[in-house]
Amino acid sequence: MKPLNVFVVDDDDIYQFTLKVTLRSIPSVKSISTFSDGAEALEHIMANKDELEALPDIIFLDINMPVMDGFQFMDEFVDLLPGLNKEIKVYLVSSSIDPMDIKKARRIDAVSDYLVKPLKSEDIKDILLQIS
Amino acid sequence: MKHKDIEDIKIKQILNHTANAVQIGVYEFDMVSKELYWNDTIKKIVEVPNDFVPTLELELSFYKEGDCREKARQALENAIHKGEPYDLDVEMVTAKGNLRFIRKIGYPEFKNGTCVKIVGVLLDISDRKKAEFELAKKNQQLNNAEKMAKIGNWNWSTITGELTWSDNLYEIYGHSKNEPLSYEVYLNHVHVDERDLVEQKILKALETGTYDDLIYRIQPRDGTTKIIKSMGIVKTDLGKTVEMFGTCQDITDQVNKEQELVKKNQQLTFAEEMAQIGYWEWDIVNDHLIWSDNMYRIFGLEIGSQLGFENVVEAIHPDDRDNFRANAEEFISEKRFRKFMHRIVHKNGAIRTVELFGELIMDGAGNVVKMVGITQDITEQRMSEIKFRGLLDSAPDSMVIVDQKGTIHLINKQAEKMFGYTFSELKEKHVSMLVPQRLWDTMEFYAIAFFKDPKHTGLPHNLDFFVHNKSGFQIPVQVTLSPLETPEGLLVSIAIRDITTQKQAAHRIMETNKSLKESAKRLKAQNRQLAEFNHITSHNLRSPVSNLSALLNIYKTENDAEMKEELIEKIETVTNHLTWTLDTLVESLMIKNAEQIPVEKISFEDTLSKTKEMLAAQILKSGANITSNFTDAPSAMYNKVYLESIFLNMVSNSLKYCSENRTPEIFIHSKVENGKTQLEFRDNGLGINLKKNGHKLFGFNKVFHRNKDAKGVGLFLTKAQVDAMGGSIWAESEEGVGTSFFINLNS
Repeated sequence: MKPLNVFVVDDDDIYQFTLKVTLRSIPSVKSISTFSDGAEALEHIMANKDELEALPDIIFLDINMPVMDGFQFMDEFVDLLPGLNKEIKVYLVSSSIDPMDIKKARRIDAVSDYLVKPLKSEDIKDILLQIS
Repeated sequence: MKHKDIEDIKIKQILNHTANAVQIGVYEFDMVSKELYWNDTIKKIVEVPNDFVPTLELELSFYKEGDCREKARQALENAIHKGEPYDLDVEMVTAKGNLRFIRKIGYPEFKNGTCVKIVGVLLDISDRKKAEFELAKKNQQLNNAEKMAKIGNWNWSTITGELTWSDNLYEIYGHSKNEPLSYEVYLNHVHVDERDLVEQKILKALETGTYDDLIYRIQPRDGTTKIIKSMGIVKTDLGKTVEMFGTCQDITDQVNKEQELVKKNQQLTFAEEMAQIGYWEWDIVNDHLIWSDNMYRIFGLEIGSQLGFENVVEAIHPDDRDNFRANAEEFISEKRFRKFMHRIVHKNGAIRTVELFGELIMDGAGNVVKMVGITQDITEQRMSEIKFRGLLDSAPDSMVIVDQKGTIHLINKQAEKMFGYTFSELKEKHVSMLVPQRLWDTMEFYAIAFFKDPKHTGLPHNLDFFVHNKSGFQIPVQVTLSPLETPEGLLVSIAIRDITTQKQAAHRIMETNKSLKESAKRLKAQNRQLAEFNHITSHNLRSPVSNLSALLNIYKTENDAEMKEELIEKIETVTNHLTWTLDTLVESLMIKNAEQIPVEKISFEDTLSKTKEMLAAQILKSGANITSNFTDAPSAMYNKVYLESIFLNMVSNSLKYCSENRTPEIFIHSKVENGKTQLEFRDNGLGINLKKNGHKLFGFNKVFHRNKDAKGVGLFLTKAQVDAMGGSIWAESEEGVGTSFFINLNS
């Protein structure tokens, strides 16, 4: 079992709280980092791009955020990815069931899947199980 | 004196007496003594006194100079030298200058071979010569007369068979005088078809002794045919025919002329009937009418019946009688005929329409004595004219018929209505009278094109052609040209359709189209708003709900009481958030649904002061400097609540997102641009990256700064209010420099 670094990027405190509760109950989760918008997360990744341990294995990325939303984050992140010596899975998460958002998410290669809030703990467990 | 001499003298004396008594001139010329003797008769003839002593030279001088004198001299010479006697007719001019015809006879006497004496007589033959001349002249005159009358005379001795013709008869028959002439030759000249007839006639004359006049054709050798009228008398002796004589007259021309006259008359009658024309002549003084046959036919009256003016009036349609009389009176008093029409009622009730053309004949004193002219039956013509007019009047469009020069020949009722002119006002006027001057060139262009290739032509629909009526009112029309072949030449029938209604309809369609476009625009805006609202519900409402659901799931499995308390608190937060979201959405929906938003005149200055009061705490805290310039547009017609809300949102945003490095400067400016009142809110705050965020600048719950008060609602609501009033809002910004929001209050 591979220990995982999990990033949660979302401006919603409640969501952050509920997701953290779920993640803590999963044994393979080594660390959980939370960011309130895409810009904060991106700054962290850029600052730690050579330290594999500080980089996430998986990102739960919200779409609607202030300053830098999920799509804007992905624009920058895709450029950054080849320079990172680590496979990072990105899951776009949104409460939006707007088909436009879903379509747009699916068009991004680097996005593994699009998840609709609320996230069920079983689904999170399955996803993490696959990676580790 | 010797006995012989005495005897000679005696004989001479007796002879002399005798000669004088019978008016015979006697002369003797003694060659020896050169003495010339004339008796008294000669002296009388040459009109010299009795004591005149003639000489040979003197005698010669009396002969008419020229041929006559030479002839006499020559005869004398020949007598003297050759002993030849002579007998010649010569002319003499007497001593008194009279001309005489003379016969001169002379005998020379010779003795021993020498001429010793010439003895002769001189006769005055003037009277005889004159008679001869007269006869010749008479004959010549007869010949000429025959020639002129184309008459020749003939004489046929039935006993000897000898046939004699006068010169002119030869001419008529084309027979040469040198050729033999006989009854058979004559018969041969007669036209082969009529030879038997002529022969029977002659035989009958021979038998009965009466010669009937006979007309027959002959064929002279030149190939022509002549018509001959032959008349004759038969002479009998003891009951037996001995001679026939008479005349033959060439009557070809006469017959031809008669036939031609008959033919011409027939043709004239025929022409009259064909053209349905009758000729009339009215002797006004005696009230007597002369009509051609066809004139009677036109009136349905018996040909040849005697007519006066009132007889004619009787035949005329009762409604036209007064006019007919009035016209006749007018023509006589005005001394001028003017063509006019009237109707005739036939005995069988048939009605004919006729037209009269005529002229007046005046006597030396200038009084009208006669009226002559023709009457034409134009019933059919008139009928077709009436039919054509009916057709024209039944056309739905205005019709104007003009010639190549543009002269108006005819218009229909619709045209009279459209243009406000009567036909008589437009007749023979130029069609440009109906067209505004600015379109004359256009009209001419199409007229030239039409006459170059006359065919049914519709002027282009987009031509924008107008006509104007009598009162100068311009009417939009659609024009169609059609060629109209008439005996008067090519005319063009112009159909003019009033398209005012179409124009109005087109205008209405355009208006409707415009409002449809606006509706579409509004619908599109509403669609966008709906999409936006859809997005809001799918995201902004779902997220708190999903949070609630997640929290409740944790709560269910959580055993720790402290944790449970924390979860309850969180659930409360989410619930509050959800309530706030719902309230905001309802508020925005109310803005968007407001159909009738009350407006009033609002001063920007007043609105700004109110805003400053409401934000007094924040302004004081931030030390912001708020300035304004509302001189260009001090106020606007707007909804009071919305405008206050807009000011509040704009100013509070500027305060909220001010830069920490500098004192906030907020400037508010109003102006009128392109007829729209525009507000500008300019600050020196943080600024927004519009490249990145421009598309969601006015979105719900969109925030662009990590400000704890940022909820992403202010601009969302502001835009909803501006949109509801039909205005627009946009921004210009530079990060770290500041932001300007522009609002067009109305569209």
